[in-house]
Amino acid sequence: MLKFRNISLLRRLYVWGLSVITLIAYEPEHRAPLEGEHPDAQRIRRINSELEFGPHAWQNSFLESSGYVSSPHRQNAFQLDDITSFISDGIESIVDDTLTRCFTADPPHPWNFLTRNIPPGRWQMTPYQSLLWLIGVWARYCVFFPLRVAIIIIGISCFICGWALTYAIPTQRYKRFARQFFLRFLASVVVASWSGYVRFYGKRPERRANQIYVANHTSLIDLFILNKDYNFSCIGQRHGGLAGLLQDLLMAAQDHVWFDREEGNDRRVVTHLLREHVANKNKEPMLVFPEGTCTNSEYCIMFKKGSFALGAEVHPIAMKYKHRFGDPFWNSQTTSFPRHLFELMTSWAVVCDVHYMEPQRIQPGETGVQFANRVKKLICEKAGLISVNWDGFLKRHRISPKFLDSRQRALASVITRRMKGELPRSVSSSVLAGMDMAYPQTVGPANGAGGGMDTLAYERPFSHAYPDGRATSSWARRARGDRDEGNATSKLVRKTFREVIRWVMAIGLLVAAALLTDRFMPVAMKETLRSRFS
Amino acid sequence: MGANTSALLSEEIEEISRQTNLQQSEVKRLYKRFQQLDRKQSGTLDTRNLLMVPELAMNPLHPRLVSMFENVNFQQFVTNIGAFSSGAQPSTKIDFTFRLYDVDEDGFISSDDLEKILRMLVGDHIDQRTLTDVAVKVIADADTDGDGRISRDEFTTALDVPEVARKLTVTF
Repeated sequence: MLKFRNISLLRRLYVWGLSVITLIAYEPEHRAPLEGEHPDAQRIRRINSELEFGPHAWQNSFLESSGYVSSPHRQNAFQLDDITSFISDGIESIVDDTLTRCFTADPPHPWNFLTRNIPPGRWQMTPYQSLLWLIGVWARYCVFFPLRVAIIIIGISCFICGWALTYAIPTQRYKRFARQFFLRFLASVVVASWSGYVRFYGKRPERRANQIYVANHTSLIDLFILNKDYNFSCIGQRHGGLAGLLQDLLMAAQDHVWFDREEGNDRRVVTHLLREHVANKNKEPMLVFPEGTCTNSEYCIMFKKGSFALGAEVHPIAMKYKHRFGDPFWNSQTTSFPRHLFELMTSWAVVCDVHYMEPQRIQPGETGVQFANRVKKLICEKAGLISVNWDGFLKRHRISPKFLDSRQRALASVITRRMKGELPRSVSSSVLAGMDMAYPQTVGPANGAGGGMDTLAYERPFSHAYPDGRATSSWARRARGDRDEGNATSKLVRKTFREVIRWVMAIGLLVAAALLTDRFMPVAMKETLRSRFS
Repeated sequence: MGANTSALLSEEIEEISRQTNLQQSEVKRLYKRFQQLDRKQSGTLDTRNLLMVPELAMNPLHPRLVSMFENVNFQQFVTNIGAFSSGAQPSTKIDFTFRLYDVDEDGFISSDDLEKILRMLVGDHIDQRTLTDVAVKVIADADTDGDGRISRDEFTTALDVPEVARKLTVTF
């Protein structure tokens, strides 16, 4: 079955063609950095560990950077330069914060002709690039867009006819089967309307009782992509407008659970419904996006623990989009769903890899939160996402003051201990013990540290959660790759070759565009143009 | 085509980058960030939107930092941030710190100012008497002319300027 579902020859050729053109015209594809090699790796790590284990890591950096450590003879409980670390910290977060970065779509770097929009700021393209880009705009809006609209209209008509026919099927079992087929068909029509090229890896889902599928979430289109391969039931927020209409349609055909996020009290109802649905073997497997909101497909935010505490077998699905061909991130705050679909339909393509991963079970002694983190880590590694521990809730609401309070408590304990003269140089284990009372989940590793500030003690719970091994090795791989680039002559040859091909391609594209316009332009229009110019 | 509608003019970028000793690319990046923070596109920053940045809301000094970035337009925003670039004078960095300490904005750090800062740092986990003791001691150490408050010059003397400047450098 796996072999058959990856067949979409035309689209594969199309995407392949696009990538060959970009490879010649531009630099090799920019790969999103992994967590370990991210320029802000240390900051991300500190925030992650702070959100998860309390303010140890942050307190550690504060103590290291405050003047107290470097000048032990100054015995004041507070130094005027103690606040420098807070200032630089605050400025850093004003300049750039990791939460906002999860929800903004950055244009691909380096800029290339596949990009949908002109990058903000000044016009920085060379004439050659502009030409290529303008031809691309022409092709996307004048050729692909009408074609895609046609695909969607024909496809939906077919779907409606087919769906109507299913009412004539007498046997319940076949009827269900036929309906599932038509729903999958509908999903693939929608995927085809953005030239979606999806590659599936891993074992195709099969229905059993007590299983739940979890995936990372970039846009509502995730649903179409996954439903194209297999019929899932979904749980999600109720939308308005076109997206809401689609949800109603789906609801009529299958069992889904939609809820309103602003109505806080229906969480219990939702959990109940979810549990019931998951236990029922006859319903479609449940698909959950535990992030709770759309993130751009480079970061992965905290997984909500709800779906992991059901006791069901969790099947992770990692989805990774290739940004180069079109950005699938849907920012529901700024873009409406029809607009998002329009943007996708006027992009080059949506290219996505879907990995079905080994089912995971909650281990004895593991809490729902830990289990959620473990699954998230698996997905991040598979899809190459940067993991941050922010709650999706923070996209719309302020962070709870308890995080600030825990920092203040940690600071207060440092200052009181300094006043008593207990802290001649750095944090002693007694401070750690005080901190552990506030954060019971870290009791094990931090208490094991014994005397003094053992960095290992801070790192241990953390390095367990975010092993860097893989990231380092991929870094090394890349460094090796760079060295293999070869000597100057071959570089020059390659460069000339590339330039020649660029110009040939540009001229060819221009001629092709002119010919196509000439061929398809209505005669009357041609006449008017001719009379105007002669 | 969804192109950026409110792009900064290149002359403005040049102007600002000349005034603040920042690279033009840095100014552009800051402008993008400013637009992000200014969710309503009003042209100035407000407290509510600043505190939506969780990393800032978790900072014990956020009331002071926010008050320095509240109601600023892009020009002032860049000037404030520019003090933290690696090319900026150490004195501007010290100046920012001094203004941060000087809660009542009278040009001196009094023990009241310092107490307020300490209160922000420790929340309600230390009682008032202890805090006052700490504040008075710090003031007494730095106060060379004996007027019970720290002036701008005394502040500079009390600090290890190159070290503080190094710590107050942020890459962006």
